[in-house]
Amino acid sequence: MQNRALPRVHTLIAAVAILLGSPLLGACSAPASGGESSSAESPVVTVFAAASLTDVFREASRLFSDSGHRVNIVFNFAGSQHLAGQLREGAYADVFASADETQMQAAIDAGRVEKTNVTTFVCNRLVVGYGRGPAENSSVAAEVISLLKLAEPGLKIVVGAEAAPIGRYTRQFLSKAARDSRFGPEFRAGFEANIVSEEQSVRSILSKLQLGEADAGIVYASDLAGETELQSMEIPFDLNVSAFYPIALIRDSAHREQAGAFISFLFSEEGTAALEAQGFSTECRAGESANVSPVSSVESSDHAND
Amino acid sequence: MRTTEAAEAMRLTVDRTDGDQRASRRFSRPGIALVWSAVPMVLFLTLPLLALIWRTELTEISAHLAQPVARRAIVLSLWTSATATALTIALGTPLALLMTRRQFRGRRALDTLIDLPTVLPPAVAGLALLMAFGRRGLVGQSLSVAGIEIAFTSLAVIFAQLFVASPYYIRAAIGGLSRSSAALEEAAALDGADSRQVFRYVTVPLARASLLGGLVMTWARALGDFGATILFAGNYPGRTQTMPLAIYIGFELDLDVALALSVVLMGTAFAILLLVKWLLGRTG
Repeated sequence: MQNRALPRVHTLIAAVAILLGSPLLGACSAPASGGESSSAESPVVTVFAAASLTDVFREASRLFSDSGHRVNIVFNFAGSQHLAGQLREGAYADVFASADETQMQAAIDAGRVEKTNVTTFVCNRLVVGYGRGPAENSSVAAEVISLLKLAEPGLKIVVGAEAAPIGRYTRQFLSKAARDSRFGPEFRAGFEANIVSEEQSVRSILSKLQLGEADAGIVYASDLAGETELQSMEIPFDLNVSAFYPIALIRDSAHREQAGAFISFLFSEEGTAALEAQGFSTECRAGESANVSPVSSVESSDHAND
Repeated sequence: MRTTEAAEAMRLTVDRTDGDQRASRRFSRPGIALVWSAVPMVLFLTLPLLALIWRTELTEISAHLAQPVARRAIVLSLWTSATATALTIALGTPLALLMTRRQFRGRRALDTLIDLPTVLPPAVAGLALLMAFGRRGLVGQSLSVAGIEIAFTSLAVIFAQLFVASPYYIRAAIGGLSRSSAALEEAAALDGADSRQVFRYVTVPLARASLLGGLVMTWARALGDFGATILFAGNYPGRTQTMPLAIYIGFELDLDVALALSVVLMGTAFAILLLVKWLLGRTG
């Protein structure tokens, strides 16, 4: 009896373990994929990165490992405001890449990042993402007309929460539109009346769009690069915002050399190409920081600490 | 399920102390080693909660709670969780009665099914609700055609709460109702009580403490739900942003408000658990 019952219990335990484990594995797939090509003894570099960097950083870390760096990069992707909050409360990280300067400033204010170590490495712009959405074409002439549709009643729009960079940028776009003669305050009012949810990161906006739960959302241009399910509608340049992405080494990083190498890699030819392939722009990089490797600034601050 | 077990354990403790108080007194002085070995767990459980209070400026807590964000979240949380609890009574009681009064095929499967939402991660519950009632969901698609859309509304919040919280009441009700025996009900019926009277004057009074205990647990779980709500109902102040969501979103926007709301939720939960213990204690 007991002998027969035992394997069944084991099967049950295994099934439960798999059931409980699989979502966890899914959530941790970033570190898993980062670790594939590196051996167990290679140092672990923890990168806190804005949710909108999820795909491009996974790709970058793969290329980084392929280029011979024996580093195990572990990512923590979330809304930049959550990452800044975690840093403020003392979470360990080696690198912080934020989707806006506000949250990088929060990390500086919390004493986790030195201001001199901050470099802008990419920038992004806003687009309207939609599924079975509001407009059929996104030609320049149709832009204003289609954008105006966002303020028509009956549409469901998801945006970022105010604390999330994407949410703040979206509010900047709305203020600009409200001041613009083509749109005006009634556009903003209509748009805001259509908002059904304020999501914590651009990733959750995207999933609401992909599920078809919402009709349209304001996301980053890079989010829709290579996206087949969703379509994007441009927001005119004069109403758009430039989302600067600052990256920095964390002050008490235990792997300054490897973390600095990863940051440098993003500025290398290969890294830049990977970033641009995912729809990010690198035009906003300061002229000097593109030439001066951030590693040198890392090293100089090392000496300062000594 | 964990909480149901806790409730069972509580009941057992109560039964034992009531039944044999002198016996338990004999064991009432545990060895000093036992006391010390229990300390780490007690510390681990209480420290974070004390830290929460420590970080909150208690004098300003009412000012933080008066902020529109906090006020709207509290009001929304109260009425949605109250509605979910009321729906749980209305829809859960018949199910509990069926489970205790009838033997039928698949009863055991149904019994397991009732427990399932309580062991699932709430995010799974939220996703499942989206797949069922979302705009492209199993049922939601037809509802959407009929002009009814649930996702992103306060109704979605109630659905999420009902899904994750109602099993606590149903489980407790099954336990309580199986205590009031069918024989007693038959006796009452023989004395001329109609089925409604039997239910009202025999069945419910005998199960009252369990029913109330389960109800309070359901309400507490509904009040605290985060994962199912944020996935299925989204986050919109005054419409779907309940207290747990406001805490999560507020973590970086305004830590003080998040802390104030956390302390309120913790205090409520503590009061609820005390109430449950007291209710269960009276059955013994």
